[in-house]
Amino acid sequence: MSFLKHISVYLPEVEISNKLISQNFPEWDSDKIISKIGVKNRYITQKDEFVSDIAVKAINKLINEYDIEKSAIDYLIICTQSPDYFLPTTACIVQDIVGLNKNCGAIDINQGCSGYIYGLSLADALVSTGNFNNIILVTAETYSKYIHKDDKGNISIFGDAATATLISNTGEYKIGKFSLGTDGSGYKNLIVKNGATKSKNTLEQDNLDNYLYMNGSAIFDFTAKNIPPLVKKNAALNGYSSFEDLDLFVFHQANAFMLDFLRKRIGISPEKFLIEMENYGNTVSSSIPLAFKSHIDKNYKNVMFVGFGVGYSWGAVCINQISNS
Amino acid sequence: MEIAEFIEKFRDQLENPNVELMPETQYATETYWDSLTAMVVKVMIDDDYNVDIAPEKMNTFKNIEELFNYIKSQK
Repeated sequence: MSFLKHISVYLPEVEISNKLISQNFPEWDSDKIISKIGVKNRYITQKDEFVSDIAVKAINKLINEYDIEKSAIDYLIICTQSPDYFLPTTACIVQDIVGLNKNCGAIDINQGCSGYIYGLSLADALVSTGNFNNIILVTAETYSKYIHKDDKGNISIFGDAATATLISNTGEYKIGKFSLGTDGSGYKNLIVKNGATKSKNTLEQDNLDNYLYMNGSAIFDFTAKNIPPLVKKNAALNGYSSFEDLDLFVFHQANAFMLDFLRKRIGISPEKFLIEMENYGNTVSSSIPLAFKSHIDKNYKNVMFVGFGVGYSWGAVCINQISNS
Repeated sequence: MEIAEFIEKFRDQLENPNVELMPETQYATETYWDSLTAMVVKVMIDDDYNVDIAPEKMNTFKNIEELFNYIKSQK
């Protein structure tokens, strides 16, 4: 049995407002688009600020906000698709900078919008073995470094962020059962094609394969087909016969229009459905903990997290507040 | 299946329920039409008519009637 204990978040300092985007792209009908995607502001990393930097900041906030003993951490998982290097593992670098115990395990996992669910599933499994008691799960992404300077759509949607979650063998929110899914046939629809081993970065600005590409329509289609059954399946798996039994749904904050569409399609009432991306944008694997952070103390008893996107990859889990802890 | 019913279902997907729609409406050139709206209409067609149209095809029909006729041809 494992518990989601605490969450801390870090937002970088470079602010990208709608006003700035409108100034840079006068032809962009930003009011309409921005009202649809539901984002007014997002933050991105400095040119010399990387995933290790924002991961360290998120972990230090977690340690300081909740007075956590560093030596008690026995495993660090960093979920990122923008690591500092091909190798070594960013989590190893972060272990040293933060000053975590040398007996602490440290790995990166590469997953995007479903990454928080996948990270929780691994942390839950590690704690459940009995070998590890305190896991820090970091989500940290700097997609801004992948976006072409003229790609106003993705500039408008994505923000950088890092979060750190403590998963322990004690706590308030018991982590329930997971539903995970994969369909790699959609891998080309959200991709940075060049830069790894198969296809080298050509360093040319006009080669869009060097940058983030998203086929929004295909992603929407995948989401519309796969996420409603996922939500129903995971609710049933966790013993909820009706959505009425769940108090809060925290979906990956992809864009407000799609979230509202999914909410109606699944049949969730608006007061139980969190849309909280106005000030952050889509922060990939950080979007669920970032949205839930400001609600974790509001005593929602039964909460469902749902992640979906790049891969394609998806996952859901319910957490349940235990009253006697 | 009737085109009048299809037009009502099409209209239900738009943010403004008072938009005037007719069989000859060239929806893909209208101001309310964008990629997100296209996807919502596409999902409605999949749900209600059991026809799965490729996302990129949604903008290729001349007007609502042509879209409707395509759906009928796929039944």
